[in-house]
Order: sequence, then structure tokens, then C-alpha cells
Amino acid sequence: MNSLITFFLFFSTLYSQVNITNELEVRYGDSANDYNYNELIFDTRISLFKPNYMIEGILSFERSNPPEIGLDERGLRKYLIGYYKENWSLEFGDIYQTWGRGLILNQLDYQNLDFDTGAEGVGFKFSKPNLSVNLIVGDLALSKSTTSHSGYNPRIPNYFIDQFIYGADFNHFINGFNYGLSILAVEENSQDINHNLSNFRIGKDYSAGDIFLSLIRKDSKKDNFDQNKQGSGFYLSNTNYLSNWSITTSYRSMKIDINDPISRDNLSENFGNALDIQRSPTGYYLHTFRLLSRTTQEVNLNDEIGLEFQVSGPLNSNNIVAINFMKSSSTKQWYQILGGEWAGKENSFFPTSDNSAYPFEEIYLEFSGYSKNGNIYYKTGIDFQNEVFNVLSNSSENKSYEINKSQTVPLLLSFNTGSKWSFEMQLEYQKLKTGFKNIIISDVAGIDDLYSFHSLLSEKYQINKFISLSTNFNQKWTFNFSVETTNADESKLNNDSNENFDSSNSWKSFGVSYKFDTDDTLQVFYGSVRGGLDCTNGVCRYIQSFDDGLRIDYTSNLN
Amino acid sequence: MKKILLLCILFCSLFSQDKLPNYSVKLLNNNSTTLNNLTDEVTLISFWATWCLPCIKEIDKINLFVKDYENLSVILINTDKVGEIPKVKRLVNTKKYPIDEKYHIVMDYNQKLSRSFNAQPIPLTLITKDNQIIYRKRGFNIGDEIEIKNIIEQVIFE
Repeated sequence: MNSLITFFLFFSTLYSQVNITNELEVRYGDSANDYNYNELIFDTRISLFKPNYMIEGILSFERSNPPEIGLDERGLRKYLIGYYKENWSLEFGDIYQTWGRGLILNQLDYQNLDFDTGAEGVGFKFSKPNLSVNLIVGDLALSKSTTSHSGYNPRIPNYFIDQFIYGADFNHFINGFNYGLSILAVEENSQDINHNLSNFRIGKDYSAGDIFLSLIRKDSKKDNFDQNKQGSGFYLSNTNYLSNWSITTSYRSMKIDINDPISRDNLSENFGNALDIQRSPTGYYLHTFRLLSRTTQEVNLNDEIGLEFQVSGPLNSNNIVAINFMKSSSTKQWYQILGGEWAGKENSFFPTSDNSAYPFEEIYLEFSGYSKNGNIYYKTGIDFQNEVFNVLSNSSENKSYEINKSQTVPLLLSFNTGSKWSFEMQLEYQKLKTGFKNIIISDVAGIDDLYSFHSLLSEKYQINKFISLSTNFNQKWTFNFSVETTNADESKLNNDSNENFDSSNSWKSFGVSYKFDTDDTLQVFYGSVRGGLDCTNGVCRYIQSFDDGLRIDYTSNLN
Repeated sequence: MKKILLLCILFCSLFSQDKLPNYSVKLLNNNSTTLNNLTDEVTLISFWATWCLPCIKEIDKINLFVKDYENLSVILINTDKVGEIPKVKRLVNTKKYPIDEKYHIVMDYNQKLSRSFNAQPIPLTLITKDNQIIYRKRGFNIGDEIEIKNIIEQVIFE
């Protein structure tokens, strides 16, 4: 009892300088394909303000059994205690730092993707107007769902990595240029692997734009393995302004760990692969439309040449146009020599369209703007994508590639009636060709090569449609109805005869959300959601479909 | 011990101030400063990202009136990944965001501010008076800018 009183007295004396914010999130889901979860997450931030410094504690508790994605948690999920002065700070706990533009270190926590690269340890920052220094030391525990290991499940990780990291980052602004230098060591003791990374950056802002260059080098060493793996890469970006028009060009050449088509995706065996703490600039357009987000690309730091060109500007005072062109390929073209072994031929400086080099190409044209009275907002465009995502064979007799080719037209319209009602409508149409392109090479004069295409789906072209209608009343109630359809029979993709496989070709859902006040919201959802790629800020993961079920979410800022 | 800690949190919550923490921050032009150096008597703060449509709509709407008030500062805290700087700059230039000594774009590269303010999901809009948070709003529907404008006027002219 005495200790209780002491604590109360202690905290009472501080009350005028203490700031506390809390957030509670309760989530429940139950579906016909066993996508069941219940989660309770409570985050609290306690800050003590003093004239010359601040002390802050962040605690995140979770009780999930099971969670929507990831492993069960019971107790303290994360914590951070920080001491902040004007020019420096010291943090203990789960540390997140970003160095440069992330090519060497960019720690993120995306709970919806079960992607967390925070390090439990110590972080130090020192900053003056022309100078900054960051230090980090700590342990990382990463987990993934991968088909390279047994027991693959899209929701539950089956591959685990423990890393110990330490390093330093230095930035200096002098003579109009920003320079940055970072070194980072990563030890995976359980695997006897050591990585050493270094990064140099230089950037300059000028009156009509900016230019930025970043170089990375990575050396990886595994005990009892003959050869070290050495990789490197660079990223160059330039933005120019011509009145209200902006033009951005970026180029990347990444050769961290080049592997042939057989071992390319084997993340557990390729110890020289880029690390999860490395997140480079995305290099591709981050789509927000439903169907387009499923075909979003992730930069492959191990083996990729990429080019991005974007122009945007106003058509008039209310309307904007943006043109985006992206092209990438692997750094080598892969072909088979006698015996079926793979060999690589180096590409030129620019990405190639050759099928044997995993080419990707996208053109996206977007218009957005408001009506004259400002009550209607629209966003529409057209998107073309061509991709080879698997090279199966490439010999003098035959060639076989797995391809995706799509055309998508999205449209978003928001109306504000001027009264208490507002409406939003989203329509998307996609024509997708996905399957195997085969070529049998003719060695007889006068007879052409034989081209064929086959898909595992019943249709040559998959037609995907998405419609979403929402209405909001008085900024309190939101009602949403969504339906997505496809003409393809996706049950043919269920090779493993997985009983939880969702073989529907229509997904309907209805949701209601009620905002009690600015900090408390309840959402109820009933129906189905199609599975597929889910991306947040360029980090992507396959998410299982949610078939015919109920979801309830409640969030509250307890302030 | 856990019970004591929870009781203390509860007790402090009853009396605590909702004060703006004075973090050191980085601006879009790469200059460093502190949050308090960017605030005015009244400050409108919005967490946003280039991919967040409601955020862009909100900024479009508030830009129509924020320059009408002398004692108002605007801080747009961008939560895009660090590699998206060209995208942010392109949008800011195309849409002519009026950056000056009372209109700032802060880059929350390591999500420090987002975590500290529980800013997800965005947009999260805050209004402060003398660095005390007096208004919080999550999400944006067209029409919400009227409420934001009314709050600013109430605070400035009270």
C-alpha cells in the first residue's frame, strides 16, 4: 500500500508535465474458410516534458489467438524508452531508424503484413543543422511465410531469422551538397553468416529540382562456404520543375545477389540475398485501386535494372494529369547450355524486353481533379502492364515463360451533396492474360517457330471487375457495398487440394462503420474478400481470401 | 506491480495535458528543426501520404483558406517511405502547396511522429493552440473542411 501511495504522489507531482495517449484496437474475424482471428492491441505513449528535455515511453500490448496474420502474441509486443534533447536523443527498446533513402537501413513495422524489422536494442541520434550521426545496435527477429520451406501457410510464418545488427550513419551538408556515409554489420549466428554493408550518398537541391545518388555494397560470408558473396548497386534520381509541371527520372542497377532461374527465389539458401532491413525507393507506381494493387511490383535488390519516368502537371486550375512509365529487367538474360545448365549473359545499361531477363513494363496514365464547384472529385486512368515472372526454359530447342499481361481501367468518383450526405463510387475493369508462353524453335528451313499459350485457368483472358459503393451520413455513419467478379475458374490453381482454398469467382461484402466521436469507431463487415497481393508502401505479401464471414473492428483513442 | 502501473497511467491520464512533443524533425528541403519552431499561436497539423486520397483531398480543401489567417501555421507531416521523396516533391510542385515560413512539410522518415501520435490510419488532423492539442480528427470526407475552418476561427477569435 505504501508503494502505491508513493507512486501516486510521485506521478501527481509530475501530472502537469506528463502527456499520455492510448489507443485500443479490438478485432474479430470468422469465415467459412477458417480465416478466424481475434486480436486486442493496446498502445500507450507516456511523455514527460521538461524545459530542456523530454522522456518518452511507448508500450504496445497485444493479445491475439490467433492473429489475422503472424504468430500468436500474449503480452508486451513492443516497447521504447527515449530521452530527447534538442540536438541528440538516446532510445532503448524497439528501435526503428532510416538511413539515407533506405538502401542500407529502413526499419518498418507493418502489422497488417506481419512485416517488422525493428531491432530490440539501443539507438542514438545526434543532429545539428549541417551534421547528423545515427548509431544502432540490437537484435532482430524476423519471420516469413515461404514456399521454399515445408509447412507453407500464407498466414503463419514458417521461416525464422535472428540477426544482431550494429552500425553507424553520418550525414553532412556542405557547399550545397548533402553527403551521407553508412556502415552496418549484420550477424546471423545460428546460420554462421556475417554481412557487411556500406552505403554512400550524395544529393543536391537546386532552384528547379534536385538530384540524388546512392551506392550500396554488401559482402556476405558463411562459415564452411568456399566463396564470399559480394554484391553492389546504385540508385539515381532526378526531379525537375518546369513551372507547375514536374518530371522525375530514376534509374537503379542492383546486383546484390544474382542467381539463375532455378535458385532465384530460394530465400533460405541464398545467404547473399539483400536483407529485409534494406528497403530501397519503390521504383514502381504504388497503386491504390483494388485490381491494380494486386499487380504492384516490388524492387528486387538482388538482381534488377530499372528505369522510371514520371511527368505530372495541371491541365487547368481543377485538373491534373500524370504519366508514368516503368521498365525493369534482371541484369542478365538467362539461357540453357548443353545438359540444361543455366548461363547468364550480361544486359546493357538499360532494362531489356528480352523474355529471358524477367522484363516488366508498365504505362499508367492518370487524370484527377475536381468539378468547378468542388463538390465532385474524380480519379481515373488507364494502365498497361507486361511481365515475364518466371523463366522455365530457354534452349536452342524450346523456350517457355510464365507471363502476365493486363489492361486496367479504374474510376473513382466522390460526390458531396452539400447536405449531410456524401457518396463514393469505385469501378474497375481489368483484362488479364496470365499463363505459359511456349515457343518451339524450328531448325528446318521454311518452317516457322511454333508459338503457343496456355493458362491453368479455363479462360485465355481473365476479366476482373470491381465495384464499390459507399455513402457517408453526417460524418458518423458509413455504409459500403462491394462486389468483385472474375470469369475464370480459379479452383484449377488449387494444386495442393487445400480444403481452405477459396474457389469462388464472385466476392460480395457489406460493411457499416459508426464513428462515435473523432476517436472511437466501430466497423462491422459481412461477406467475402478476394485474396491476392497486399502492398503497403512498396512492401508486398500474398494475403489469403476471406470467404463468407464476419469481421468486427473497434478502435478507440483513449485520450 | 502491473496493477500499480495501470493505476498510475489512469491517474495521470486524468490530469495530463495534451501537449505537442518538441521532437527534432526534418523538412522536405532536408533542413532540420524542431516541431515547436514550426508552430504558431494556432497550428493545423495533418498526417498525410502521396498514396492517401482522403489526405490529398483534405490538403486541397484547407489550402483554400489557411492563408487567410495571420496567426495560423500549417504543418503537413508526410508519412511516405523515405524513397518516395521525388513523388512528394512532384506532388507539392504540381499542386502548388504554398510552402513558406508558416506552411511546412515535415518528412516523418522513420515514422517516429506517426507512432507517437497514433497517426494510423491517416489522415489524422490536429489543431493546437500554444502547442496544446485542442482538436483531433481522423479521416476526411468532402465537407469536413468546414468543421476544421470553424474550429480554427473559434480558436483564433475567441
